[in-house]
Amino acid sequence: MFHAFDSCGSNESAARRDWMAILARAPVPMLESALADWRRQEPGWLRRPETGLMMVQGRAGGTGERFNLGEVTVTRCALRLDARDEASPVGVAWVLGRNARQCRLAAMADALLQDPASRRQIESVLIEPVRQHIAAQQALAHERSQSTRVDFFTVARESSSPDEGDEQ
Amino acid sequence: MSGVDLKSVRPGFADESAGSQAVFRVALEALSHPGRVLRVPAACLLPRHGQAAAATLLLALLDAECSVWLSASLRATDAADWLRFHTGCRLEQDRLRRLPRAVRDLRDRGAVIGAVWRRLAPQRPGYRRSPVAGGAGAGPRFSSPVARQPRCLSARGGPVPVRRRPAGRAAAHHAHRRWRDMRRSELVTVPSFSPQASAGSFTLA
Repeated sequence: MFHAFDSCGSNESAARRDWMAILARAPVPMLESALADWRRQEPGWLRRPETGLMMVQGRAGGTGERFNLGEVTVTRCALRLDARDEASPVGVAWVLGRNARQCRLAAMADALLQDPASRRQIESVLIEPVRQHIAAQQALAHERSQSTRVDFFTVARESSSPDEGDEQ
Repeated sequence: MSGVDLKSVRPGFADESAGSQAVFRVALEALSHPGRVLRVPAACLLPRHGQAAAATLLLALLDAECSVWLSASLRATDAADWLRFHTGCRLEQDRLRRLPRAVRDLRDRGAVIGAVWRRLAPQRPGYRRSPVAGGAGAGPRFSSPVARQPRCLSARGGPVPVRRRPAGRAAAHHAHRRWRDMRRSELVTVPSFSPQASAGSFTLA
């Protein structure tokens, strides 16, 4: 089982939260091509990719009581790009599914984004394209679902007398 | 929920399954032979602070259902983050002031108490030190009623004395002094995995 405490502390910046969400959804071919310079090097593992289950919770209508929707398979890992340099940033990734390779590449991208030297480059070759890719996928899914949309109308029942509630 | 600062965390076992199994094997060996001190294999990279053998043992034994109490000085170091990140254990905030009762309760529930002494004083009363006859092991030798034959002791954290179990009247005094010793030592609790009721009481991690 996974535990929520370790990877994303409350002190993480909003920018990092944003790019980790992008990286978790990034398709493997895009990660591979963007990290061509780094993907072959062996990172210093803090935690090798491991697969486990996470309970996903939902709220009916976004506002209702929280309920357990079901369990999903998640792979996570934590690494340093340079095993010998203990001051180098730690990259963390949690991705849906069991693809250890995807998890590793996402964690490497996270580590590179924390390094000011490589941040701009990774943002332009990876984060922005992936952001556009995700937006396009969402637009496509939205468009598809719109074609089957049904609008329900109900006619409000008129109350027989406006003063009914006051007779008490 | 407090986050772990990953920047200071060092890696754990190089090979998780093989490493933890090797350490677990040593732990079983130690619990089944009270008085014998064994070498904990160097299977993992250690935090910058704390005792090496205890850290390795905890890394192998702890899981997310365990609570660990660390002394205030140790909790402030990277050892606490290291344990939490790699094992998922909870860190106990309670200072366990009433240690004797707490320890007794824990032992009744099958917990093993491990204590790490920072400074060891083999010459103090309560320890019986046998003359070193030389030979393969160069460490000091101790004997106990359980381990009839003197054992050669060595550990990475320094020699660990084996306490002689006192009989009769001296037992109460001995117990009291033991709790006093434990109070000022680093104390950890780990779940019991030994069927022997007294396994934890005289085995030092």
